Amino acid sequence: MRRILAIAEREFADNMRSRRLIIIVAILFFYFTAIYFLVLRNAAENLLASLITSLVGSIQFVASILGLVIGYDVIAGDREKGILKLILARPVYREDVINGKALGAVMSIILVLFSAFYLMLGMAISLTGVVVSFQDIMRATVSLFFITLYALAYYSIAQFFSVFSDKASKSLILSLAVWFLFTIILPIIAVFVAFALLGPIPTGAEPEIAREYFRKMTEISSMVTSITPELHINSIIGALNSVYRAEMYTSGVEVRVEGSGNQTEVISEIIGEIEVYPNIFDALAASWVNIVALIAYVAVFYIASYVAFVAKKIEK
Amino acid sequence: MIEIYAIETYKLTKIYKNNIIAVDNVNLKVPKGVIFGLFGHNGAGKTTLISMLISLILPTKGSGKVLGYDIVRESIEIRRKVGLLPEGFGFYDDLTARENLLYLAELDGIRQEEAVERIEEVLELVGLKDAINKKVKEYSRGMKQRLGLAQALLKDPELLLLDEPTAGLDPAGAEDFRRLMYRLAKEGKTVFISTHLLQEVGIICTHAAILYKGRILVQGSFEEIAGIVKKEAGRIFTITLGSPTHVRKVLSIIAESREKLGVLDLKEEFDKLIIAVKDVENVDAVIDFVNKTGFRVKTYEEYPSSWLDIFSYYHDKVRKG
Repeated sequence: MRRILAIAEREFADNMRSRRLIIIVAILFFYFTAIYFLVLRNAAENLLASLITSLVGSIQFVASILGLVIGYDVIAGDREKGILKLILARPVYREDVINGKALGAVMSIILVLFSAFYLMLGMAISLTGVVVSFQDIMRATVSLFFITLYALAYYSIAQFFSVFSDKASKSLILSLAVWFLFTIILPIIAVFVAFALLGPIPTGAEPEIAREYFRKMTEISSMVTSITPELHINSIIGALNSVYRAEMYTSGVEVRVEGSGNQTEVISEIIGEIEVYPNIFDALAASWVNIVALIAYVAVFYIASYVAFVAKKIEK
Repeated sequence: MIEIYAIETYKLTKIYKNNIIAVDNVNLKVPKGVIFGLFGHNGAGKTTLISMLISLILPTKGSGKVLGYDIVRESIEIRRKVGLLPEGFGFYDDLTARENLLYLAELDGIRQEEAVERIEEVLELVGLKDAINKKVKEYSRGMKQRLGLAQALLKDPELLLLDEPTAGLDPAGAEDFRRLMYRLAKEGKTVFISTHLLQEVGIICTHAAILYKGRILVQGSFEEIAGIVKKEAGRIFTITLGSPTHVRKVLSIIAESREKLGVLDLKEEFDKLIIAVKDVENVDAVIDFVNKTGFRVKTYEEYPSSWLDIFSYYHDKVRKG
């Protein structure tokens, strides 16, 4: 255990002083600042909810990149630099090395996401003067917990490539390829598949027919993108965010429907049909499949890289 | 039972996935307390053999013991007692020598207070004490190599496995390295050096094995192997003449009078001539003959006189089939 902790501590310290992590935190702050001013301009009635949801959104935006950046060189980097040889020449099990490194990475991810979130929340509160309740913080923390899980899914994917790559750059390219596939390519493919199956958007049709068209489109897209962690984290965060909406209904605050006109209105109506949950537990209970899927992502890739790393002793 | 061998392997074999036989049925015996050289060209299988000895990779076939511990089942025990300087190693560049060694000492299981003292000791030994707080990225290649040796010495190992240890060292550094190895061997440690730089390292090795395409051609002490070579090759001696140009000229002169001088075989190697003769008397005849031609024999030695001679002899032998 002592050796696992020593490796974890080294990994954590290495991450904390790495330039790329500082860049990610800077991007996060920049992104949130931009969102913050956008929220201030548009969400006068429900400022707090908008602030927290956009803050969660900002964190989610960088979480996957953070996971990749921490994971891609976790093994490949040490292998490339020749440090791994020195570590493995000591009375340390290979299992200890990968577990220690993962522990250090998890600590780094948690520290960056949580500290950045609370720091930005503190800044937003002090700038706007909104009052935040304990429930608000709890709800945001729960969202943050699942975003961390999402970041860990990408960490596991990157670690998997890192175990197989002799060079960190190769691992980075493979990890980024998966990230592009999941975040950009598959959603585009999903839309194409939906269009191919459903045909073009009906113009001038009855609202019922249009609504049905978009519902089917969402179903098909979700089916295609169901292998991506994005779909699952979006569903979880969407369910958690809907708790705000439920509170707004009960407190008499009306939900503003953005846009006007035919299609935008219809789409907004459909978005408005998303389930609204009265509390966090109901929201999480409704998202259990997504939660399991995210956990599976972390577990499957972690176990695969663990087995591969330990087996490297046999194959070299 | 007292182990007399620091390393003992039996038909140790490593075959990689692409069916490349890196190490082929190696039976190696390294006595305790000696400086043992594992000599072979690049790609001979030296690094693979060392990696198996410290259990970085598992053998495909065969078995082995290091300090009495099985290389497959007791790898952790081996790594507790063996210091390794691998080829192509590296450090955390942004950390100082002290910080790097503290981390590695922790993985070695050395308590921190003890590690602090030990780090100073080993850095003193390798001549890096003044650079203890310098970041590794500021180190020269030679300094990094010395630091590599320092990390191998951290746990005060009974056996040192050194893979190409003089790579990157300047002549003065190589000399310091030889002195240090000599000193460690005198303290009773076994030093196992894998190298292709025989001129730099061979001089300190009391025992050696020659590895060729994964197989051991010969192994033993210098006297044992030199005896084998003399027996196989007959009466052989070497002369040096001061310059390679002279060597070439003298070679052609001797070749013309081969029969008369009783020369059986004649070969040039860098700055010396290797001459096989029929009888002891022919040695003096050849030297007199060369001196009379206007060239001067600078040195005369029995062959083989170095590990390099032995290495060349066996390589020629396998090349000729």
